[in-house]
Order: sequence, then C-alpha cells, then structure tokens
Amino acid sequence: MAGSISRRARDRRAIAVVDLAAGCDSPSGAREPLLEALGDVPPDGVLEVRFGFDPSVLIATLAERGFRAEVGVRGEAHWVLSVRARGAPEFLDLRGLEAPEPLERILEASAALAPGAALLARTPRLPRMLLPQLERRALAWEAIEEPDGSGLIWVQRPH
Amino acid sequence: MRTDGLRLQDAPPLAIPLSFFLTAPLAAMIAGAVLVASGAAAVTTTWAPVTLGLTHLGTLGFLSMVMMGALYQMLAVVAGSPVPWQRSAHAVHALFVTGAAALTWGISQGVTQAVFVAIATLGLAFLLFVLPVATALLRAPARDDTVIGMGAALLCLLLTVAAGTWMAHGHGGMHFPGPRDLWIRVHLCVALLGWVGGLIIAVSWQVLPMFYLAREVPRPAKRIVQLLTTGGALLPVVVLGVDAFGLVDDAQRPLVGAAAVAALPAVLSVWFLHPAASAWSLRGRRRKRSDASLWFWRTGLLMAPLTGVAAVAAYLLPGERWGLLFGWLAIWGWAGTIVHGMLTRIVPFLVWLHRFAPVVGEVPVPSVRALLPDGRARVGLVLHAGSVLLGAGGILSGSDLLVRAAGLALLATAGWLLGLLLGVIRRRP
Repeated sequence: MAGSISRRARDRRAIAVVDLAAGCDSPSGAREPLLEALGDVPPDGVLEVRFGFDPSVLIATLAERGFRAEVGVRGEAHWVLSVRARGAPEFLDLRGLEAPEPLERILEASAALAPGAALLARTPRLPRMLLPQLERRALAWEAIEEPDGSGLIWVQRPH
Repeated sequence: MRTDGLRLQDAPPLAIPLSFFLTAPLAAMIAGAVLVASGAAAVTTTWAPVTLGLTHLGTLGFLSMVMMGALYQMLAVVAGSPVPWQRSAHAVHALFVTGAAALTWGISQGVTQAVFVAIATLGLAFLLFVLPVATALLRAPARDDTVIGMGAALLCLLLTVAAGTWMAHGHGGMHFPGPRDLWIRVHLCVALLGWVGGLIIAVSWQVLPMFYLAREVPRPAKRIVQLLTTGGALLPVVVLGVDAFGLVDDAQRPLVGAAAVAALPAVLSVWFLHPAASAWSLRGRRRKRSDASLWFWRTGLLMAPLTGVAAVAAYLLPGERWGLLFGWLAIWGWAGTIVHGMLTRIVPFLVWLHRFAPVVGEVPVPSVRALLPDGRARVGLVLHAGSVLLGAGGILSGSDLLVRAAGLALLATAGWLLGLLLGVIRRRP
C-alpha cells in the first residue's frame, strides 16, 4: 500500500482491507481466504481485497452469497476486489475530476446525508484538505490511500 | 494503518499564504514601474545597480515571496506535515518584505545602510522560515519525490542566502568575498536552478496530476531529474569552495568556466528534461479541459528551453544582451509565468476552502472556479506573455521604447493579477 490515512469512526471499520496479493497467485487458491474474509464486509461500507492477479472470476461466487463486487486496477499488478453488502451505498466515482472538485462534490453530498446514512467515494488522490472539513461537521469518516495513490472515502452522518 | 489525519488547526490560517501571495504582485508592479522610469538604461549591463535591483525585485519580491507562502500551505496538503510554529510566518513575512525592499533600494541606489538593514532582516527572515519548514519536511510521513525535492530546494535556498548575504557586504562598502564573476555565477546557479527550479520541479510532480489529471511521470525519470538538478546546482558551490580555499594554482583561478560546466547537468535538467517530462505528462491528461492556469504552465514550460538556450548563449557569446535576456526569461518568462498561473489556481481554492467549504449545504455557495472566472485569468496570461515578448525584444534590440513598453506591460500584468486576487479575497458567503 502506497500509504494510508484513516480515522476510526466507530467500533467497526467501514473500509476493511484484506491483502491476498502475497499469499494467493490464482483464483482457485484465493477462493477460500476470500470467503473467510466475507465476515468482515461492513454493512454500510466496503471490503477491499487486494490481489496480484485479475480476480474477476470470483465476482459470481460473491453474487451467489448476496454481495455486490467489482474489480478495479490500482497500479501495475495490483487488482482490488471491492465487496459490498446489499444495503451499502453506491460508489461516487470522482476520479475523473480535477482538484478541488472531488472535495466540493463530497462536501455537497455529505451535506445532503440523512442521519445514519453513508456515502462512499473514490477520488483521484487522497483529499487531505477534506478530512478536517468532515470533522468540523461532526461527520464520521474513514479514508484510505490506494496503491496507485487514489483515495477511497466513507462518510456517515451519525444518528 | 495510521490514524493521524490532518486536524483543522494543522492547516495554516488563510492570512499566512495570502500575505505572501498578495505582496508578490506589488513587487512585480514596482519592477514594472522601475522599467518604465529607467527605460533601456535598466537593460544595458548585468552589473548596473538598477538591473541588480530589478533582478532582486523579481527573485525575492515575486518568485520567492510566492514560493515561501506556498510552502507553508503545501507541506500540510501534499506532504501531510504541517509547518510548526505557524505564527512565526507573520514575522517572516514582515522581515522578508522589509529585507527585500531594503536590498533592492540599497543596491540600486548605492545606499549602504539599506544594504545592512537587508542583510539583518533577510538573514533573520530566512532563518525563521527555513527552521520550521525543514522540521516539517523531516517529520513528513512520506519520503516521496516531492518531499525530497522540497528538501533539496530548501538546502539550495540556504546556500543562496549565505552566498547572497556575503556578497551583499560588498554592496555595503565592505570587501567582496572573492572573484566577483565566480561568486555571482554560483549564487545564480544555486538560486535559479536549485531553489527556484528545484521547487518548481518538486511541486510539479504533485500539482500536474492533482490539478490537471496529468499522467504520473515514471519514478526513475523523476529521480534522474532530481539528481541532475540538485547535483548541478550544488557542484558550482564545490567549485567556489575549491577556489576560495586556494586548492588550485593561482594561474587557473578564478574557476568561472569550471563553475559553468558544473552547472550543466542542472541546466539540462531544469530547462530541458523537466519541461519535456511535464509535456509528456500533460499529453496524457485524463480530462482534456484546458483552463488558464494550464496554459500558464504550458507557456512557462515552453519558455524553459528558451531560457536554457539563452543561458548557454550568455556564457558563450560576447555582449551583455544575452545575459540580460537570460535573466529576463528565467525570472519573468519561465518561473514567473508558472508562478503567476499557480496563483490564479491556488488562491481561489484557499479562499473557498476557508470561507465557503464550512457552509456547504447550509447556504448556496459558488464553485471554486466561479470565484475567479477563467476568462479574466486568460487576460492575465495574454498580458504576461506580451510583457515577456516586449522585454525580450527590448533587450535584444536595445530599444528604449520597447523596454518602457515592457515595463508598462509588466505593471499592467501584475496590477491585473493583484486585482484578480483581491476580487477573490473579497468574496464571502
């Protein structure tokens, strides 16, 4: 991981990360540890499973168990399988926006969150200047920096 | 996984970067006024007091003023390491403005007391600046190319100040520390290539992908550029040391030629390799919208190889005009254009972040881009490019009219920029 920054918003993490890049080199070998990791999928967040190969063939397995999953490339030989529970929010993909537009969009979206609701956003970089703004609003948040330098952010308005 | 996000109190108050950013256009306006008043007399020889004064208005008053203000802000954002003892930045600003004004006045008018005021105030200002910034760099969690580049640039700033302070004693009526030509060349190398060039390069690795979604320059290429830049900026200092300590025969001294050759890696890196790498990076942008600040970058990067050619011409060809052209292109053409463009992008963002971001969702707020309309920034680019061309024409032709016109254009450019920035700063929710 290129670097990470996070704040524990509550007892359970909203962005969980499992790294299978070192231990598994094929989809068949990854199946068992992936199924074990499903217990860590946050109800309103995301489990990011990192691989050294394209794990797309595992999506069907996850769908059978009621999870939504998508594969993304996060740098050379870095694949990420993002696994979410059915009720988790959709990703707000802001990676195509120049700074500071991702920051503007996330602040606007978080201002519209109902109590208890959460949002997930992908950003081109970890928007460090956003994080104090979220704290100022007493929002719960977590953020990680992906291996390719992009950001993944979860924001929730507490009940 | 770390859990130390930026805290609100870590980011510097808006007043800190803005105080530096708003002072810079004032210095450029004064430089324009001096050019208008002096005409061709200001660009006759690089040794003329008024030319030295103008040079330092550009390097200290405009370029370093913005670069120092930007470092206070950027270390928190891009390096994740806020500058400690933030309140000292106000003292740094006050001392730096006093020192830059005293130095330009003192050396252009031959007022020795002013030069000594400058030595004291600038020395203290840089000390109060370098110590906290170096501390923040050492504390930075990441040791990426930007942080390493900023550290190298800071080292070059220290050496620039040390050499400059020593030479300023000569302008204060005391002995010049050594062979004047050699000392000036070394001072110039470490300042323009190491400090200005080094910081522009370090910042570009972050800013181009962040603001323009440009593709990342491969790490080996960044490392080569960094190595050549820092090495080429520091080697002339070694040559100066060899000369100063008499480590070569008197017949070979002063080692002006050796210092120039020693700087070649940095000349190649700063004015040729970095622009080429940046152009490659910008060609791979994921979003094709081109705003004014991007055109400022493109124009500045285009000026870079012209600056490099002028530097070589200044060394190889007879006549003063090439040295003057080199200085004009380096300060106002290459670095000045990039710095101007970054101001039009950073100031609206900072104002939005500090004043509008806290009330998003509570009251209607404008977007960052709406705070400084792109069309107005483009007017600034046209004025800036026009002033560079007029100045280059005036220097090459020796035309008094062209030089005064360049001064007028410089005055208008800086005045327009100041007006734009003040317009942004006045905006409130």
